[in-house]
Amino acid sequence: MLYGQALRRAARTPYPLLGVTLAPLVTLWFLCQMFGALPHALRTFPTHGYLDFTAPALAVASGLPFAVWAGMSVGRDADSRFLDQLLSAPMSRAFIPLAALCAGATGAVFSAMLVCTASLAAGTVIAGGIRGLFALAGLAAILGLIYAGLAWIVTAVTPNRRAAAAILVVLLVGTLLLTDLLLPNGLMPSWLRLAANFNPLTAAIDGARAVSWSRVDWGRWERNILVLLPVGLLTTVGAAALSRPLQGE
Amino acid sequence: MDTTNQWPALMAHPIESEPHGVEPPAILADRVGKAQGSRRPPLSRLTFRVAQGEIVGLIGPPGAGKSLLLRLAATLAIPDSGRLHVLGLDAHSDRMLVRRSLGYMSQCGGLDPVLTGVEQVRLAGRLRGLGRVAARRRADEVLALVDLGSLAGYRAGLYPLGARKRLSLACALAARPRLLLLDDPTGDLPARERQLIWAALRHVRAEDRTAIFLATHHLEEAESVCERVGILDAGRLIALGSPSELQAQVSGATVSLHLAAGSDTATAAYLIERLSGVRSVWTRPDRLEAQVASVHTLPNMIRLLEEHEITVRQAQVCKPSLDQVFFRHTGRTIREAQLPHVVGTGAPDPC
Repeated sequence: MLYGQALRRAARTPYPLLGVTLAPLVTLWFLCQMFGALPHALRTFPTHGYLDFTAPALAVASGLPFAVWAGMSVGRDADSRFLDQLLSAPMSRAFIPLAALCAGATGAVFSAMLVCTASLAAGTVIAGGIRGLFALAGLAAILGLIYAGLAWIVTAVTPNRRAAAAILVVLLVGTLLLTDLLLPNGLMPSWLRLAANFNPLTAAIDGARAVSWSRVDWGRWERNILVLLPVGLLTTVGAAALSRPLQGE
Repeated sequence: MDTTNQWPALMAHPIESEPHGVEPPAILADRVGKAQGSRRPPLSRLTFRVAQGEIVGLIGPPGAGKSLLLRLAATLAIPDSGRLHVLGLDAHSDRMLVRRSLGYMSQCGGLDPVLTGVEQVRLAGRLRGLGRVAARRRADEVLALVDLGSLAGYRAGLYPLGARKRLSLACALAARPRLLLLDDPTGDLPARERQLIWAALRHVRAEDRTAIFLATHHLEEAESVCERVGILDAGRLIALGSPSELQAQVSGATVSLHLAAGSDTATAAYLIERLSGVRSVWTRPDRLEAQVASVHTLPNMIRLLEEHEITVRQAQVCKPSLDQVFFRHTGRTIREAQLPHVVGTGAPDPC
């Protein structure tokens, strides 16, 4: 019920709706325009075309703004006092964040599939085939869960909504930039490479490329899933645990 | 001023275990206490009961604790002390069971602005255990009851204030609650909207024997529709009884003077206040009200005003208002009792 309500809400709100539909496609096109010449300029570029390089990465990363928006629902519900209606219902508090996190994961998967469809239409190939698409969707889902959970936690513990939004923007932009989303690892400065190693998004991007590029490496995908799953579990449990203080004043 | 020893006679029933076979009260509070933060006095040793099917109102100045008391009964907060039972169940340890039978309407409405009216009510019903079909049917029923049938398909964020209040009420009624907790259900609504809400409440009370416990700023409404009224001040329940019982606490009479148009109301109030036998004077937009020791003071008041060329169009002897009951207990009116550290400090509007 709450999950359906969260999705319905997203479908009727312009920002998240555009965030999972138009924004990823525009971003994909823009990046290809910006960096399209790189593979020809650099012999060491890992793929033949820039689209092949960025599409898997963007697929798993494009849904993150939506996931963050979904996770911030606790703030919106508290401000509109809709949260009171949920809290006065005979159900476990944990369902409230779980519904938001699942909605975030769903949006991330939707965005990932949209990017995959667009890039396939533009000529790229997902070497892992249908299985590879499911693997990509799984990565996007876990990542969506992580970021929605982080957003929930930050919003729940930060009394000022605008401060929470600012923190999450910094978190989101920071994690998007501290990866090899835009450029190959070899072209990044050493400190950026080091920082990227601690970024869950890096693991997701690596896993996505492992099932998309010509030399499919399922082992690499599994390793990255095993890195992401505990993080996802941690943020989910953290969000659920923070629902308990919503009970008593 | 501790009035707990002064009003036991006004309580419908003493606090004790219910005899076997007697239905439990809708709300049973025994020395309930709860902090309200550092800026407001805590709720302190609240002891009262609300019977099933009864309508009990709560009045008092802002910051007195009315909303917090309703939240305690709605299991949205946990008492710091005392015991609170709702429908025969402990409000904390049995809160899941309690919530199945509750309907709660917060002061700000508690609506999702993106969902339509009918979606809100269906969700409220489903959250309280109704099946999909039953929730759908009940949603249509309550939306018709609160006269929102024509707006049901529109998003709640587009509703005017009166419709939002009615929709909030519809959500509270979605699962046929045995107890309704309403925080300022009529707010600043015009008379017609208030009548719609009260018609719906009377209907559910008659049909389902739903107990209603509400906080309101409309003293006249509390007098006319509530069977009993509780007066809360600074976290303490200073009086509880039927409106006539409370009014009987105020000795003397209340006189209402309607002055001629263009009269200097302030001067008239000043003159009357100095008369012997006049205890207090209130200036209203269209009249003066005075609490007097005896109705025999009235001719002196009229004569005094006419000596100062202030014409009295009409004079009435009225029942004391609940504001005067509050004044009798605290020495100030409800408006005067707004806590200074709440007013003007930028305390956030709850809505």
